[in-house]
Amino acid sequence: MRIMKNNSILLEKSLELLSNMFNDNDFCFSFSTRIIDGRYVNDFDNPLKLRYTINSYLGIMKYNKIFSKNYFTNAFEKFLDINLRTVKNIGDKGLLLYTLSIIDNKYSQKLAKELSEIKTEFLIKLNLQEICWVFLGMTKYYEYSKDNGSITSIDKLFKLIMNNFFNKDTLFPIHSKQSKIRKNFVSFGGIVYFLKSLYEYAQVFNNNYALIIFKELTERIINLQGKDGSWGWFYNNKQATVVDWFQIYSVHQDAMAHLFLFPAKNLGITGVDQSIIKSLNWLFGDNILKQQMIQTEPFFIIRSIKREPFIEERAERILRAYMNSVLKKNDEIIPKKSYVLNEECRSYHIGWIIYVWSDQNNYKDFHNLNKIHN
Amino acid sequence: MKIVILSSFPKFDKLQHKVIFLTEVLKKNYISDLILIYSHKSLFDHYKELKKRLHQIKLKARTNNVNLLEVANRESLENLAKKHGLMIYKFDRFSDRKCIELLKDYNCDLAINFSGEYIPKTILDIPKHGVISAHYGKLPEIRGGDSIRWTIYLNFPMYVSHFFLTNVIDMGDIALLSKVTVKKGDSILTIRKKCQQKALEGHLKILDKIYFGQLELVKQYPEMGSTYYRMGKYLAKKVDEILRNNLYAYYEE
Repeated sequence: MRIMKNNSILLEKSLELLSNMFNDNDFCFSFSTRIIDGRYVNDFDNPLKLRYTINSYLGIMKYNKIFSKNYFTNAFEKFLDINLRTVKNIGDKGLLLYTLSIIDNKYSQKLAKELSEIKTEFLIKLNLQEICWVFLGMTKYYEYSKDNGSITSIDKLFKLIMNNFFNKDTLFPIHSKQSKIRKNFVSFGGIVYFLKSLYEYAQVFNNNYALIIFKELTERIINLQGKDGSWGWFYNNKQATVVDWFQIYSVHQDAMAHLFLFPAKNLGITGVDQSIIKSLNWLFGDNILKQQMIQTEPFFIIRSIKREPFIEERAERILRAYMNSVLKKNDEIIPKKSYVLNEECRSYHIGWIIYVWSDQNNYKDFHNLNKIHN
Repeated sequence: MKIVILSSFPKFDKLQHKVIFLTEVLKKNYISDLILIYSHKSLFDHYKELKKRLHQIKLKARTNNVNLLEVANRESLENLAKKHGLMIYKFDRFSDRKCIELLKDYNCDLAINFSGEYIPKTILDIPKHGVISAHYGKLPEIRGGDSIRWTIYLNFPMYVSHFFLTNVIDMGDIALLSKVTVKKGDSILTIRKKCQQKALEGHLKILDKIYFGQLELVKQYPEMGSTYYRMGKYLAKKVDEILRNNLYAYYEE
């Protein structure tokens, strides 16, 4: 697919990269991509590619809408024809509804109806990302369709989230009340989706309470940002601390954090601009490894910096999270520890970049793939 | 005029503004009869409530030099009602079938909600004029829980709003708005006491207005305000600091 020149090298290259992550057979994007001998090598086997594909199409469809383009539109139609019925995860359906709504696709009404009919006892069993994606999808659906019949279910979702996935004392969201291991811990991704869904709901429904929680939690999260601009991965929602910094993901630094930082900047919250700049500059070597995370030829963004694990990574993470929680302290990025690069790239990352930066005209340096100098 | 007072947790019901209200309302010669209905009558309900409020009670005692023994020895609403020979009825919940039947048989003109509990729709429809309650915050702008704290946080003037209950929280017609004077040095607890005083004064005014046919109601619409929810520790602490540092915008001398 030929990508036209754009004022933003970032967007142009991101679209090109996605086209190199694309599988013509099932109209899906890759689960994971690496560069081997200067060539992109994709993994199309992992079933998570379905979620990543939805995420990628979301970014592309938003881009198309803003720039009046038709990239991947036929592919998306074919993806829906083949894969709509195979999307089983409720969270994925929520994100799909979001995508369908912004392009006023014929499937959006049916999907919104399906999601609005899910009973509370099933919604409560979802995890934070899933319920927030459903909430986002339904809110976006209402925003575009003005289907008043959806308002009751959207309000129900808001109350369900605030009653079951929200720690009133710290303002942090809760990953899942069902999970005994995870109930005190929440990931950065979960926090991002919670904030974004609160913000969009607040804007569409003029809900001042949601807006206040958005502002207050955003300030708390900004205050937990690392000195080098990094975003911690794992948080204790009862103590409002970072219990594990790693893996520090490029997608958090260049896209997902801005899902709440850009709205926060529009609201005039203090310190946001610096937070954005630090977050982006992390990718240009302002990190513990002084590593340039973005390479331009071929275009590629290294997924993360992670700790070299002593034992199985997940087990070590859980241990570290519990230890820091017991000690009631923030995790630290200690220079002498051994850190390694995770040299893959996932398609959803690029999808989020395109989504976030399509309608963001500031930070021209980053659009030109350069470090931002104040 | 026949009125019902709705309250809860009879063994803890010692708030002075309710006792004063009862004393004053019985002086009104147009009140032909009055009964007191309680919800949450069981010892287990009282135990759960005490557990929930223990921290608040200790904090009140510590920060306001309140003598808990003195509070425990105060006259309760129930005792005062008994002294005046009023009928008192107790139920587990207002939604109990027998409670609803009692209210229907009693055929009152107005029910006054002092319970702080959710009043089911089946009860709301029974009194001739409805069920009136006092909300410690300005309606329609500030609906929902922790309204005193939200008023301070949002830098709104402090009001007590008397309104008729509907099945949607804090959305009923507004009967009276009463400004509450907040002075430098006031804490949440002292502001709440002032609100309680305005609440009882407002209920008495409204009774007069109903009796003399002077009641005017203002309708609320959803878009006129926002609903807020109970504040947790982080935001509550922020509000306490606003008051401690005298940063609230609506102090009066």
